[in-house]
Amino acid sequence: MENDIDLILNKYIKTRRESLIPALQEIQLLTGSISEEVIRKSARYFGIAPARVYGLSTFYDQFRTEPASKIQIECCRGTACHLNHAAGLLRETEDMLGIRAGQQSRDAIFSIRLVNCLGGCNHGPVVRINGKAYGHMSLEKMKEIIARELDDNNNAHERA
Amino acid sequence: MNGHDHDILTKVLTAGLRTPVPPALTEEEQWHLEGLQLKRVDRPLIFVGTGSCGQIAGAGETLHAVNAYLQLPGIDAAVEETGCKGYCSMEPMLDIQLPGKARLSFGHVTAGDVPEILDAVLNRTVPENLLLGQYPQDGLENWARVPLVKDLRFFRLQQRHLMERCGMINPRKIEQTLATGGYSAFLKTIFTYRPAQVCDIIDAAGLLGRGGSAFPAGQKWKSAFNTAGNDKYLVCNADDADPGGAISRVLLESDPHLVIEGLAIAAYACGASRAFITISERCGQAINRMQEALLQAAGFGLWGNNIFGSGFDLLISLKITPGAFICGEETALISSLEGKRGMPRFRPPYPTQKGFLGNPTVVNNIETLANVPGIMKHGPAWFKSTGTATSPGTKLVSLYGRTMNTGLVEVPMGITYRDIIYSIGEGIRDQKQLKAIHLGGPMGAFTGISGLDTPLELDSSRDMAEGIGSGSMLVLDEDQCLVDVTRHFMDFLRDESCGKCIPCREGIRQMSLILGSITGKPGKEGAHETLERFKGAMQIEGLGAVIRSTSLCGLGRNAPNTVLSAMKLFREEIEEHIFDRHCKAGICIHLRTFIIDTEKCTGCSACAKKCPAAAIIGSPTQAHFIIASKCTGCGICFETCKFGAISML
Repeated sequence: MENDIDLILNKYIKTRRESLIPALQEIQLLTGSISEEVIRKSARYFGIAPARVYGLSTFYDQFRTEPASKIQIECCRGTACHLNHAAGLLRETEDMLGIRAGQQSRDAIFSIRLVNCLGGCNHGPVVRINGKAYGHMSLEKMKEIIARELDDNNNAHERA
Repeated sequence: MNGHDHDILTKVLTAGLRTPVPPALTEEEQWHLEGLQLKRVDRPLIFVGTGSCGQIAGAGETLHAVNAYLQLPGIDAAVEETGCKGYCSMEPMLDIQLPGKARLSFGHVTAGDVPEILDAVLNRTVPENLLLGQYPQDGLENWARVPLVKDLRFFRLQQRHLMERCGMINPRKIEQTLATGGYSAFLKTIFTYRPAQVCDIIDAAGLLGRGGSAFPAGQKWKSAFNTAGNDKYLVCNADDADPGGAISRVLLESDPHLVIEGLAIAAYACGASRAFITISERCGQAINRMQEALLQAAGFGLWGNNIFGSGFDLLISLKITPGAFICGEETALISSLEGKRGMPRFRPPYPTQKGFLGNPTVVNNIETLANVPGIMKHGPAWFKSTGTATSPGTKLVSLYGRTMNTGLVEVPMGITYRDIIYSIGEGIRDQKQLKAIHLGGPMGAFTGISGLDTPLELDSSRDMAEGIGSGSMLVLDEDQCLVDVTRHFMDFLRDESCGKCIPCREGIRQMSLILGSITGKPGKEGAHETLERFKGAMQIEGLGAVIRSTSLCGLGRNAPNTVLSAMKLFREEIEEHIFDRHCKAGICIHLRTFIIDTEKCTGCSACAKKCPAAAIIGSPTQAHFIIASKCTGCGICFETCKFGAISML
């Protein structure tokens, strides 16, 4: 059965292993993650072992194997943010959501990820929530933004 | 860009290159060109810096406010988005240029300040508030009693060759780049020189690689050029994985065409017909701007087949790296481009002999390539007139940490660290004292106050431990704990080690564990724990030496630099952590002890309710106590107490 994953894969040349990363990036953009199905299909397509594709998807920070969460929190672990107590904020966030960095909550609503630097070194700690970066982050500010994002999310669902 | 602009710019670009010589610009065309160069504006032009640092500081809201202001009746003005001037601590920045007048620059402009500033400037007065200065230009009238931007302390010692256009032009409009001289060096190169000559010119200029290893760029190109092979590749490494380095990001967001031009010249010189630009997936804006820039440049025929009829073909593709610090190493980057895990391999063979898919490949850092158009335009002698004899030119330095001014600065080589911190950075915030600086990112090293007068230089014979490396400078004041910063870097490297060779994979993990136990909570069996910590600290130097001498790539070889330099410079502080279990700066939270002053405590129980570890006991209205063994040192009680009864030892 053809689906979106096949459609994306078919755009790339089969014999070109170097297309694997761009293909996975495109698939993740569409489906939100590199699922087992993606791994098997892309391995078959490029003629390599599924273990190689899995190895690749766990090696790089960008790829995730679990489905995308509704609220993606990315905490900057850059040195400038570290000096502005990013570690403390991360700990507080982890405690608030009950998950550690790199994990996803069981209801798939929240995930926390560490990123290297978001470019706001003078405005740390910087946290990116669902793709938008905010400076001078605090727990209170984060709660507000999360509430707003959840609202938007629900509204979008209702409209759909 | 409209057809008229296109014709004018083509004339400007190809002047003197082809026969028959194209007709000179008419008066009308010259007039129009000045408009594109932003020398002449017909109506007020407002510039908002919307680089990613600006966005985080609130430039999006500022831009929104400007657009709202422009909707008001009777306002005839336009807005341009620019990149970043490197002055991150002044973001969001807003510039205004009135017809016939010099461009004014303002800093810290929030959405609320916009109407006030625009009202004043459009009525030809200059508000004192938030004003930074003006940019004088030939043919434009200066504002009275307004300082020049280049005289500001942040800019005074800088020498902007690479960053000349950064923050000044709209990076999303290629016509502004072309009108201000962009791509002229590239076209001159492919029409005037043979590839080998270009390598010679770059060699004569003494351009050293800016990525950290300081290898002469001209020699690298020659090596690839002289290797037989039909398919040669050039890779521009534009991924500053360094947590705190912003060099690639600023260049990509503010002047992407400079990067493309340097890349194109380099590709011509080493005989490559395929080129890649690799940008990290984190840098969304940089990716967008580069994508746009590549499309516009292709539309103008600046890359593709038979560029401007010269017979030179170049295909450039943008590769989004899926994020791995190790991909700063050239063989790892190539492996990642090939669709594998980014792991380094043994050299030789060097990538210039056997690189991407077995073809000769040159990997250059983005800053190295950004230097190339200037050298081709003005010649090697011009390039050598800046900087020192061994390392000519300028260096981009990402200045961050506790200085008053932070951001990306471009300084001539040979400038002392002291000048960068105290002149460009305007010293340390809050009248604090400087404690140390840390150069070169996670694999760099600390430099103490005694090393402040060292001139900034690139030297391939020295290892990374002593130089500026990739170009980031972290400034630490007396309130920072060096052990904590060291641990931060080691934790980072532990997570980023690719895992290929054991010394790096296991060695860094051990170092990070040792530092963790030094900064961690004291264990229950006190004596045993102290001994363990002490043993770990004793072994750390030996471990560092082993990692350094046995690792395969630069990451492992340079990983112990931070720890070893900290041991050398700040032994006392480390010993204090080990033996006294005390962190003077109060940063290592597990080593903090809080006590409640029973005299001042009113027994309100606010602290006990907030304590996440339930470490505070006491009945209401009676004085409370902290149970030391339960306390995690988080400090929430300290922040909660309204009566100042809680203090930190």
